[in-house]
Amino acid sequence: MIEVEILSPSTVCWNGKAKFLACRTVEGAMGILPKRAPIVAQLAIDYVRVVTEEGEKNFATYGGYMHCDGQKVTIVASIVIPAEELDPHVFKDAQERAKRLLEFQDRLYKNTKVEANVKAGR
Amino acid sequence: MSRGKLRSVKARIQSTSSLMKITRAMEMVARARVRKLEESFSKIKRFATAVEEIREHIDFSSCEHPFVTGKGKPILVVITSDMGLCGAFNAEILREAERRLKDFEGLVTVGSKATAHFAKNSKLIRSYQRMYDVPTLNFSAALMEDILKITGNVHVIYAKFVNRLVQRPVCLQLTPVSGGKKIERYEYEPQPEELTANFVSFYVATKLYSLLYETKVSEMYARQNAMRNATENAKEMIRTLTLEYNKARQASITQELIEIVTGAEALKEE
Repeated sequence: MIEVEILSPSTVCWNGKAKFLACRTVEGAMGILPKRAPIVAQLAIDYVRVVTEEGEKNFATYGGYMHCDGQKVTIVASIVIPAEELDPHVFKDAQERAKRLLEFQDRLYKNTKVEANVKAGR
Repeated sequence: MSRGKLRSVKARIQSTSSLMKITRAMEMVARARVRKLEESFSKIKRFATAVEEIREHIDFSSCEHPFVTGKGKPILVVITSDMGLCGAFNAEILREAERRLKDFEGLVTVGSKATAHFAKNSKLIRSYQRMYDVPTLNFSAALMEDILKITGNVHVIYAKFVNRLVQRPVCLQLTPVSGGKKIERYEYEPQPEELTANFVSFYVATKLYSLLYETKVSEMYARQNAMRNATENAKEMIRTLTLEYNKARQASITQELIEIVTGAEALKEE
């Protein structure tokens, strides 16, 4: 068994013992078994699958990094969402919201009072 | 004692008690918010520790990223709050910033208080105000990217949260980032050069996020303490004023009694 900890800035998404962990790095998919050689990898935007004795757990990760020292796997990512919380409608809404935000980007910048380039010459 | 004096003391008591209600409400708001913030902060600290642990296992010696080499003019990032009424919290950060500013060639401010304070400073490069209610990783990533365009040598002044009563301004060297020692048996994906360049930006953004959050938690505790002190002072002031009012009222009654008795005596003599 290998210890696994999946962290996002706002929460500890999951930690516990696992038999196997599968993830996708920027170079390709990989599986991690106990006593794997130590590795630091940059994760792609994809799923992380954790196989425990009770069953399987899936997490969607947005970027992030994975560190394995042979005994413990730590995954840190800016966004981690457990598969059971994934809702296609939420993503559709978010996509539409993002589109609208991009359209009104200029106005948003004015409203948030960004005083950028105060001294443009410097 | 005149009636006018009595009225003015009474008005002061009333205004102080309404002020006390406001400060007490603000203290309660700060107390409610700080509990949530502190809970989130402990999770962020855990996340930052995990990122720090990864950094220790990466060798940065072959990386040419500005945040690793520290190339560029040294700049100072000052983090303050957007709102006041938190005692000497902002003043202490700004004093520390003023003290250290001579060693830096540029200044970036985060928070309205620092922006207003350094508005006319010739070293000011960028300022951000009212960007967040609670710090976000998105903002810290944007801040990191903006800083990266300017330089790779960054120091940050933030409010370190020591305990509930003490929040101390601290100057921290954010970059150049020093890597861990080279570990032969470690594998890296992608190649170490690419990995370190990508990771260092993520590391700096995470570190900034943690510092912004710590300053926010410190601010809320400072506000809670300041408002508690203000409430206690208002209570003391009301006590003193009530005593003054009662004395004045008693003096006025005594005066009136003396006048009546004197008048009665004079009539009796006649």
